[in-house]
Amino acid sequence: MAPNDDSLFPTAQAVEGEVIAPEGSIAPLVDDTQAAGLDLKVRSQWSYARMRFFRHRLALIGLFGLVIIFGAGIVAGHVAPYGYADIDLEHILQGPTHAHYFGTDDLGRDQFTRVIWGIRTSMEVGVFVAFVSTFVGLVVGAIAGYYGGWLDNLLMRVTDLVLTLPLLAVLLTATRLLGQGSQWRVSLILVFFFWTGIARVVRGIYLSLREKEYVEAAKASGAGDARLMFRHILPNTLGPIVVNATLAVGTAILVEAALSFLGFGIKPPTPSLGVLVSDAQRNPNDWWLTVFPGLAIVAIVLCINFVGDGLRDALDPTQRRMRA
Amino acid sequence: MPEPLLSINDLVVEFKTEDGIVHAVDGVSYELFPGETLGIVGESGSGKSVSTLALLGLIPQPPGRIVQGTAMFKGRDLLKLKKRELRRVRGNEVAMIFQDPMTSLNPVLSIGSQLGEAIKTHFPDEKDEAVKNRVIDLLKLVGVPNAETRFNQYPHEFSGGMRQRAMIAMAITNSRRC
Repeated sequence: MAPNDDSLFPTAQAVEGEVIAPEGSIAPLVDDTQAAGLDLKVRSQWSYARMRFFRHRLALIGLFGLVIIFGAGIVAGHVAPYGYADIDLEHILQGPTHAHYFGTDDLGRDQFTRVIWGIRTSMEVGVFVAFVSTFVGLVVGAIAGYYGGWLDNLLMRVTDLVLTLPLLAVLLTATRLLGQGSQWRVSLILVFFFWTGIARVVRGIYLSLREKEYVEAAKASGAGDARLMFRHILPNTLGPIVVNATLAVGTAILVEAALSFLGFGIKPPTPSLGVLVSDAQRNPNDWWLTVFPGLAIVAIVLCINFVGDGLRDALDPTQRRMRA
Repeated sequence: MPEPLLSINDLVVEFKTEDGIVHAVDGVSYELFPGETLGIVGESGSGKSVSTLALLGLIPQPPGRIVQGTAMFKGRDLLKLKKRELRRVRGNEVAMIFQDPMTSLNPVLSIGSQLGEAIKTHFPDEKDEAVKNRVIDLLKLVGVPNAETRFNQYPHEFSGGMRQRAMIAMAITNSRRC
């Protein structure tokens, strides 16, 4: 082939004999008028996520339930017909009536009022524990998974240690010695046990993601450790973390209820759902004392799990499949 | 005669494995002058990628180890730079186009933000608006149609070729020649 033969790469010039595009410009290629086929409505990633979430029937039901239940808890002082410590000695241990929807307990306190305040307490415990433990677990897991090596070893052995503690025995001792029946102290003790699960999940994801090419590509364009950890890898862990955090709200509520039921959690007269079920033991034949707070616990946890499930599906931007 | 921009001298990179030491790069030397294009050709496993990755300190150590050699770039030895200094070079003075466009873009970040980040990393004071305009210009430059729309899209909404072009755009973000 002759050295000057450029027929392998025929340019517009060679074919037409005239210049179509000015030197060094590829403007005609990217002219927007040529891309008429792309003339669709452009949706942002968030609007896709919203769409996926709102097409998830169970998630909607869960969200609806949560809004009502937690909403009632948040404005407990306004919706509750009585004070949670108001005693009405003329109506002791009454079944559900128009005056007392959920009946009254052995001190004549309105059970409906107490359930609403109990929801508030349980909600605060659940949300607090989920938030703080997710944050702690996230940081520990991210550092362990990203850096690896001895740091990973150390952090994971600490995690294992916490995980191997006999949950109930330590919880009971800790709440007795340190909890003092205070809602916030009990919450903090729960955080101590809850961060481990999330730390492990996050570490696992980081371990696999740090080897991804896009992390290497970001590194090659000058990103530092913190940026790689929190900007490039963290969003990829969002799905599992959100699911874990929502589930943690439910589990924390359950554990708090169990602790209070055993008399080691939140001290009466502050009503938490666990305290209410525990109090109900004094009058095992009066079903409304047990059933209503119990139903509240079940409803909350169920709704939370539905919402978590819906969020996981909605937040995954690689999932293009739409639910019908 | 002008000074070489990059001169690699007797570069040796090894990997320690269970079954002994792999000599991935064994005494490579070359010089690259300003305005020059250098193509490195070789069989699979001949060390093309490893020798290049070594320049930017992207060889995982361990198991990898840079045994000897120098890589002089603008009067500095890239192989002896501290982590922080190396980061300033990466993506700013020396950039890489990764080969696999399907896995080299972060699936959860929009194309625009990934390209913009390469700018922000090195010029943190740059205004968001200016960064966005620059990224859109880059996307147009590499031939991505509807750059304004594509800016907000995610890698899975790009075709393979467009992703490859986005990778090229990412590598040249901080090149002031285009």
